[in-house]
Amino acid sequence: MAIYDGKKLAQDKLLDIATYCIQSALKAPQITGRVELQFKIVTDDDLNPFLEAFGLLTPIAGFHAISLMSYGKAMAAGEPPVLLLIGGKNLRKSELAWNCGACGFKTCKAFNEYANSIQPGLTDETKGPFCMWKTIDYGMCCDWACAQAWHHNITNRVEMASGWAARAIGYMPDCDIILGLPLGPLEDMFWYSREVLNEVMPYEVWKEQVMTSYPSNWAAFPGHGRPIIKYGQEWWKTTRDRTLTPTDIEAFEQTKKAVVDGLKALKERVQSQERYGK
Amino acid sequence: MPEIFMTDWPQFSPDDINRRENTLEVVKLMANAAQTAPNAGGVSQVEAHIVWGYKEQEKIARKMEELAWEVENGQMGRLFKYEAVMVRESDAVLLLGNYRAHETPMDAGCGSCGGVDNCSFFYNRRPHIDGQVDTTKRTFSTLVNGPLCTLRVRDLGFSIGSALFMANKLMVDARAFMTVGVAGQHLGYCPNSGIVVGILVASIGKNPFVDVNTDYHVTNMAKMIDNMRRKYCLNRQAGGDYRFNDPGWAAEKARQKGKEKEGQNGDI
Repeated sequence: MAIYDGKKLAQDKLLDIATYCIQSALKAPQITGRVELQFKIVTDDDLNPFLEAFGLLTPIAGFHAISLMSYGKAMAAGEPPVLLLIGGKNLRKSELAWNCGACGFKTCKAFNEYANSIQPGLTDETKGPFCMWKTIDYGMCCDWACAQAWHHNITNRVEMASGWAARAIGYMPDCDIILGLPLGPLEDMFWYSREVLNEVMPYEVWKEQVMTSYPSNWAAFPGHGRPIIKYGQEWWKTTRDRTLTPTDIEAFEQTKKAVVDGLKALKERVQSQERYGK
Repeated sequence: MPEIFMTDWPQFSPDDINRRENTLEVVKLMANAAQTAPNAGGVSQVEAHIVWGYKEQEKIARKMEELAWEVENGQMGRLFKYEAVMVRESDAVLLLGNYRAHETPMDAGCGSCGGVDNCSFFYNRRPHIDGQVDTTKRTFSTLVNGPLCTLRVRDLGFSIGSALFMANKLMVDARAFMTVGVAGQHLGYCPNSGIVVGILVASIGKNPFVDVNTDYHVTNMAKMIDNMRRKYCLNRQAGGDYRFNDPGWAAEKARQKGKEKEGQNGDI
């Protein structure tokens, strides 16, 4: 007989939930029945490289910053989530011969030829192109994993961010796509209505984000030919322009290169560690 | 209080309809579950059509059989034929479509559609003006009008998963099919969608979507029963006039007589 700290034990048992999620994903009734799944469960200190990857990916996909903040908060509080990685294999090849056209090619053969000619880099979230029906099956399997966690009342949120990071670090290299499913910490809403955003995101940053995303909401009369945005309480004194300035693609390509270099270095360092993948 | 009696036979009898209506309640919940499935960015993108009833299901099944003869791949033709039978054997059909996959992609540069990180694969193959896709041309020569935003298609997979998970929890048999979705889309169901998947749902003794015989389009139960009717009518013509000569009654009398004799011998 023993007496347990209930919350600590529940936190430890998140691993059990991860296995239930895997069992559920494997039970999902696929349409093609041909998507092979692989899984890894990442816990505790092995989550640290993910934080680094989130930081590295942020300049090209800003939502990784939110993941960095969220995982960082949970780990600092001593309640790291159990991260279930769900990998899908064989999505960029169609042996179905359904020739349905959904992928944009008239035949599966033409799709396969195109897929063989493309080698996606780390700036792609996934290693496309994908057969649409296998993509649906992969989504269905991931959903069954999420639904299982939901039925156990475990806070979770399926993510592109941690899946992309996992691919960058080098987890499950045979998989064409990885999504991450963090399980826990044990509270109501950790991955939604994120408290961490309240803590670190100033009102001005939020406002800029919304105004740049939906400028027409703040647009002034356009008939004068001055496409201005109402900005500030005395907006007529502090208007902002809505002019369309070209993106500096070259600078963005350099940013991407720096991100890829950083991710490659991270991958090399992580994979050289003895504990990697065990 | 009025009684509700339910049985699964004869099919589409009032008592069977009572049973089917219960399945329909599940299908409605499945459609809602599909809407609440996780998706990229929490963007609404799924529409649902529920089809049930003899005529309505027959319409989908016949469209599938029509497509079976149009596809060049013979094995795929058989999928259409087999699964058309399953449409007839279902209680209801739930069609789920993604209405953004062909028109308003995620534009996230994820690389899933073409393996490049800028969505150019999609936009180079779709008529568009400054990234606004022109969907007014609705004729196409393939079963599905591709390419599609694969991230949106993946989200459709999540929705289908949630619909099926709901059915699973409510212990109703359900399975998703490409063939049913394609036929449904060609018939105009889920009219705003770029891709549609059909989920067949049934609550009967034997799950109609598993343990499928080969040559199912000619060996399914409806065919067997119809053949039984046909052969039965032929065989009954061997009977005479039961009012004057009833061989069964003569046999029954002989059996009775035998039992009496055995009783007399003390055998029973």
